[in-house]
Amino acid sequence: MRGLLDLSVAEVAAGLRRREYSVVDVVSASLTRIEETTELAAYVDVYADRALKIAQAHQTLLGNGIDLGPLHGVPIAVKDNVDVEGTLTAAGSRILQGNFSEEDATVVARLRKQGAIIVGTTNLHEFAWGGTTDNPHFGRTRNPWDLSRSPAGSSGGSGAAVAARTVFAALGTDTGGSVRLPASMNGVTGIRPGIGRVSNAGVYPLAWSLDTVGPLAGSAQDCAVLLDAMSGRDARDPQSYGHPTNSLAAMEDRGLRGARIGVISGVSRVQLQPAVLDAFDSTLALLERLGASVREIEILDLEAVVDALVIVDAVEPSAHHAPWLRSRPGDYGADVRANLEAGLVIPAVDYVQAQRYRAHVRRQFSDAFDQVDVLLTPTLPFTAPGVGQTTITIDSAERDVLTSLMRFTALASVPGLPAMSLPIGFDADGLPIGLQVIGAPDDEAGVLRLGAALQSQTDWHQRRPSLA
Amino acid sequence: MDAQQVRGLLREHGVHLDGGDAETATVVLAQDWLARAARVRAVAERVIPAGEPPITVVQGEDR
Repeated sequence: MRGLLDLSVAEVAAGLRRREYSVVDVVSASLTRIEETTELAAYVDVYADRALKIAQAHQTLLGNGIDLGPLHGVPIAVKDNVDVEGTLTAAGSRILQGNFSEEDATVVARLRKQGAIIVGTTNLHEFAWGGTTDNPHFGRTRNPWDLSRSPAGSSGGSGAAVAARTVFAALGTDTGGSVRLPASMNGVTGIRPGIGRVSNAGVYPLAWSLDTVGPLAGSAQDCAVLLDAMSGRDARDPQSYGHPTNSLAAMEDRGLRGARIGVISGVSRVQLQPAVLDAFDSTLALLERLGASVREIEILDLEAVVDALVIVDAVEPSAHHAPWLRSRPGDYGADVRANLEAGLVIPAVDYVQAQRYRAHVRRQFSDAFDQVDVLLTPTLPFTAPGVGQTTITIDSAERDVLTSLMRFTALASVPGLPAMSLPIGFDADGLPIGLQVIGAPDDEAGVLRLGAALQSQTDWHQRRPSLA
Repeated sequence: MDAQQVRGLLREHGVHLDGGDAETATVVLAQDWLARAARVRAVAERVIPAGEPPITVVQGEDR
């Protein structure tokens, strides 16, 4: 039976306006669910009293006919590297413990303006520099589909929080894949916007030239509600630009007839676990039955995409953390300390070549988008590995988990394109499989529209883990 | 680059080297990343026309 927390954002908002339940009921349900699922270690802080007070105030507003917007009364969670006024933002670190946020990050302020209620902050890989959310300072987040499996990262707490339906949506940040990876492994939907489409003001940086903020939620439609509210130019972030996205309006037509879909030749369908390939091919077949044209697209010079991502993602954080590496090395977790120290020795010329390569890859993708509307890959070559697992075997070859995680997500991160992950099936162990939809520059709406169209024909996004 | 050369670079950056597991992890990772950097350099030198600039943080072509 569907409960209050199984509703979509639009459904719960509609019920609030029909007075079927109150904002306090909704926020209380969220807080109760958070209490019931503490074994996930998805949260680092929960603002129960504050959230209930705001819920009461939002209910009074509704009673007086004041409607703040599509998120009025909707509880959401925020990754702990995004500032929430009057709370601590440690970015999952010991280094920043006690870091008090004087004001909201722009994304939080914009969501609140539309009526969202922040119920807590979610766990992440320390400083967002890793893919497991195995955090030595705030605990090891677990995957709700199987507690012995990884939830991915770095926004693993947000992925687990949404999958366990503790909230309707959560914010994540995505540099090399940190929204899409947990979306895929936890069976939820998440979008990373193009760089600059959403303000990074008040978000603790990982790698400045790659960082983005994006929502994870139960569906593409729910992600669109949040992204439309969050996006657009912000005077606090000079990298931000443009008008807010208009993704919801683009979803009014969910037909796929005429949609042009590309599969990257020699990339999208190779070196995958068999269940991932099956789910991917089944999705392609479904899209064709629904009227889309699917074709292979060759994009040249992609052989160094993961390497380029690693180099930029290594150098920029190391520059930022260098003083602390000298003065407080013991305050970092072992893996993040190694990442940050190793990044110090990359030659400047190689960093610049990686950034030149990124521009080249962006041009290659732009050419591809003359021929297709979106490009598809699996989000990951494999389903959730075991907690603490560092290697994985695919096609009889043993591979490193961290860099294998980024094999497909790097394709959007390196050129700075919008990309979404949405669930398209499960493997034999009941673990979710994700599809990555990559869009042209500034076409977040097109990415979300394809996701909504697919989710109008499938129910993978409505499956729930059998967590107690 | 061999491990001793990597250690020398790390020392130049003020990294505390104690000869333990943390040092070994950093050195091994740095060697892997230097190899990756060399691969990126080789591809970039091969495929990017001379004079093409890097991607910029502010991506002006989208404005």
